[in-house]
Amino acid sequence: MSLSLLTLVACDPDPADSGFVTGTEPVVAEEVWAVSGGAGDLAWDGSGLLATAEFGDLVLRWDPETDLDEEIGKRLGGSPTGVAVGTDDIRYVSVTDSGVEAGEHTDDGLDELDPLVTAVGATLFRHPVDLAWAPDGSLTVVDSGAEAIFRVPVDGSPAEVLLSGVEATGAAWLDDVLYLATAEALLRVDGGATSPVGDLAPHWCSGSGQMEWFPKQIYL
Amino acid sequence: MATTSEGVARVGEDGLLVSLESGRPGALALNGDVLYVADDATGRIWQAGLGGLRR
Repeated sequence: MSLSLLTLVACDPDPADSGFVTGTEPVVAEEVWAVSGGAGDLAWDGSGLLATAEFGDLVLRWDPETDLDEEIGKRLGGSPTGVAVGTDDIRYVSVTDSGVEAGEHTDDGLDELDPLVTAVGATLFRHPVDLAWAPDGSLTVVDSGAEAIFRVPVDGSPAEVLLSGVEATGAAWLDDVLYLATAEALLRVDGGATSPVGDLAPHWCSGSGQMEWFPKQIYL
Repeated sequence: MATTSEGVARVGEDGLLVSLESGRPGALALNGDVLYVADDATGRIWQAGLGGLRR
């Protein structure tokens, strides 16, 4: 295994402007797994790491104890691009262009997938990229292609648009506040009001001295 | 935390910024103080302990 690919980047943002402060300790990392074609999304299920495989239309699971991976999902329609850990009855949920699917617990490791939602109104998802559990028990789907955030109930009732006109790539809930990663800012959505995190839109320094900030995915 | 073109940034008063050499950090997952980061450029998954970093 390789070590230390993750390295601290020296940067000096103004925390009063950005809302962020750099750490001072180097972070040592090691390569533990590789997903062919790349992993679109990751989720920790309590004892293993779930990943959507961009090649193969699968959800994979890696067990750090055995260092083995397995396929735990099979395609119903489209390649899964987002994954989240499920509930007592659902092993995991994943999202594809065709909808949200729930993988059930099985003994053989190859899960049957039940679609929770295959369409939203008259429009299928365009390019969903992330999903997260909301405090009310529904799923929040980030669709960068549709430039919308969808609320997907897990009881089969119709999904609805939670927010439109935002091209986000990641979402996370903290209490009743939804945070969204976009190309311009990390946004806070609280009671229908949307604002960037920090007093000003977050920014960061690049090695070339240019200001860059491209949040892709968030985890709170 | 968020992944950016520059790396991984932790949100909060005590933040951090770490980067992948490829400059393309992607998906994140957190297991306690262990952070997993997917490298968008290579498909490799990296593990980093965050125990020494304050939130």
